[in-house]
Amino acid sequence: MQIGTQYSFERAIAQMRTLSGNAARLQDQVTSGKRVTSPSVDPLASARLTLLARKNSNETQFASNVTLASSLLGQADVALEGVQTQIQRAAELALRASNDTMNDSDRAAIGIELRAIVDDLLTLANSSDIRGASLFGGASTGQAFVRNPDGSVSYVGQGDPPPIPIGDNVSIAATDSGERIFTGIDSGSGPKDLFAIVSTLAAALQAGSAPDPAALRDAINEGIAGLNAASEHIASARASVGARGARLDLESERLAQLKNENEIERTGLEGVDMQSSIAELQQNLLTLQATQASFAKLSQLSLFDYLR
Amino acid sequence: MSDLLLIGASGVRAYQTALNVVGENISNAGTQGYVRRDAVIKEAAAGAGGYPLQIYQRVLGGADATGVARSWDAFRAADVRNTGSELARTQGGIVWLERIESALDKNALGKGLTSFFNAAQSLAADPTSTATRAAFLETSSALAASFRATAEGLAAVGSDLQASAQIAVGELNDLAKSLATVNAGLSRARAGSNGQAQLMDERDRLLDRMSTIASINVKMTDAGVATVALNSANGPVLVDGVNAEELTLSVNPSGSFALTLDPFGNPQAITLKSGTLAGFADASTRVVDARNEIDRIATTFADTVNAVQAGGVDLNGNAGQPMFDASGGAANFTMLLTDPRSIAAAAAWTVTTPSSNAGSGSIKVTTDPSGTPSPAVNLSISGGVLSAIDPVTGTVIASTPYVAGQPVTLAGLNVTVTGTPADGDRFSVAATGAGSRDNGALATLADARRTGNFEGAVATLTTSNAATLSARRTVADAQSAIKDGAIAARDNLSGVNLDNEAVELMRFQQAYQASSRVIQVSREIFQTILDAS
Repeated sequence: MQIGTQYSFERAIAQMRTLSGNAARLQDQVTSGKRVTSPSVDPLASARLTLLARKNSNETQFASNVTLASSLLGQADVALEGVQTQIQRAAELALRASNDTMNDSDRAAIGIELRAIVDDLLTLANSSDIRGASLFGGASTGQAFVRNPDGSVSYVGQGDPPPIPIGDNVSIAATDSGERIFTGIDSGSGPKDLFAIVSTLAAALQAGSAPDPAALRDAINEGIAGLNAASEHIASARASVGARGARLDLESERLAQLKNENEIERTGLEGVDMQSSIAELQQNLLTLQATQASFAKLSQLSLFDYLR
Repeated sequence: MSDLLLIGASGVRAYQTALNVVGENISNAGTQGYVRRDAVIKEAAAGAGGYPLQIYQRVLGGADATGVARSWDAFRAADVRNTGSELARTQGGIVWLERIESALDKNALGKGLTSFFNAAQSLAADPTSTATRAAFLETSSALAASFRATAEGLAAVGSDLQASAQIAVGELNDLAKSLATVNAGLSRARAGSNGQAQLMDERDRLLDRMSTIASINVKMTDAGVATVALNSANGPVLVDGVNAEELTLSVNPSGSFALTLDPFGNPQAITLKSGTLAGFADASTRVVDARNEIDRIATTFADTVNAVQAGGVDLNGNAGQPMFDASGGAANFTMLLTDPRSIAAAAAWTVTTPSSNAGSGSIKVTTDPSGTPSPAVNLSISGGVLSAIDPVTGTVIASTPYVAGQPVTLAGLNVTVTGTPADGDRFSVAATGAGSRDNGALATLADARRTGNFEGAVATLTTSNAATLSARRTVADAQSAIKDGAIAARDNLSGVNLDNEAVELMRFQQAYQASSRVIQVSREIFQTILDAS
């Protein structure tokens, strides 16, 4: 078969162009570490990579929400622990006041101490969270509880606390409304709020046994019962906070693991197998060199050189 | 002895021509479209005597170079044209598919949508934070910019494609005119002349170039005059002898192309089967489809987000205002909100579930489109009936039976009960005021993300284009190999090989030298006779 001179040159040029194009592509892959440099390189892998990137982005956001929710629950736990301590103290004081060796002035002193506990409890109930809003205020940003002119305390927060999204269609209540935690404590004589329980006890102690010692005794007993109920109430609220915290720990672990798996899958889909890419590049360059060398030799061969 | 002299002289003349043809071949070894020529050398006819008794009678005539023959085969040439035309269609499309790919991929629309929805999730965790709100607004305006950039990128592909197609049509018309001129020359050229060979080379070059632009079918007369029909032998005729028709390109309102042959005479709509123009036409419908899809995504996305905004309440306690404007398509996608406080994160109604509720039910409340609800109402559940109670007077305003999970209309509100509430459970519902930490509207947005699947639509668009592009590349590789084969076959016959020409050069040089030698011998013989007398 006869090969035209021009065609043979064009063929050689085309071959060398293909080889250097391949070399450039492989070089690109090796330097960028990416095999799928544009979707058309591997449409299937690219579609999967897009999904993976979206999944990863979502999970990163969820992980950050989980972190926020965890610290909110941590804050709630600390605040509730403070509340428990105060209730404990109040209960001890109430027990002491119930001792018959106590006289009215001793009880009045205890009453003053209980009033201070009410102040502390109010401060704890109005703690603000890391977002700068009230921790137990539900959906509102202002204070959760206010002290009325008559000295009683009422819940002014509004709405259920907004759940924080921590997964696709999954959200978690990272805080509880103050109403649920501090009010509706029933020790057998109707629901009361925690502040009222302590305040009533303090008021009874401060009033003394003067007109009716039995009434004082009843008030003290009722106070103790109320405090016990409150202690149980807070303990169960704390348990619920702890349970949600544990769930978030699991969720956080799961998200970290998913991130790891995503990364492994991404590398598998998009990443360059360095060994094989470099070997292919070497082979490609070798072929290119050989083509160049043989072309240079062949193009020198001409019968005209022998015509003398 | 004049016979031998004449024979020698005829040989010298013939081989001189042959050497000239070899020289022509060698000097055109690198000329595109040059077809190797051979000198046609024939034995010259011996002239018979005019009269029966004529003594002088030439019995041998020597050699005669009658012309040049082109080493050419019509079928191989047609094969190169057809395979080249197929490849040109594929390659003509690939360029634009790559541009579409880059417009879809590089402007990161899919990532922008994901960032938008995730910024909303971040805001849902901290709905009153001004910093988070500002970050959400930034992400939103970046997304608006992504929509615009993608639409503008696709629009640029469309207009560049149109300009390229116009240029290709213009070139095809010029080539058709040139071919008509060459046809005119061919009909006058002497058969076997070098001039005819040159015109035929030019004709084939023109046909090759025409075939890369459009699908052409070529018929040739014995004189080499080419008739060019589009698509098939019976297709509309573009060049007939010395007449060339004109092709025009117009753009349909949708943005796709329409080709018309002979627009001012007998207009015919043409759909080309191969060639660059066919590839461009393929690409034009793809660009149109991609632009429509991006516009559709932009509009539905903006409508969805605006509806969520309208159903929510912003940080100032006002009903949410539209966030995006996509009325001008994706190219004019604009962000309307500028104040971070104006993002409606909270649902319009704040629900408070009292701790005294015994069941695990919860309710979702939206405003009924035709209702005028009072700003605060208590809802009470008993025996599968939902009642609205005035919070101040305690009177029942309205009651309705309900099914869990299905919205019911009550006192101007749409209420959906989920979970299992106990009889006697109550919920207080109040219009959301300023500064609410509620994130009900953002939860609705997260739902709309799932049902709208905007990111999926963008990914599908990108992937389907990428898959087509990838398939075209594979096809182009195969077609390229087929075309190479056709070229090799044509070149096998028509190409100039310098080694062959060197051999021919030596052969004809030797024949030339031998013919000169004949002349010399004839002179010597004649001298012998002269010397003998």
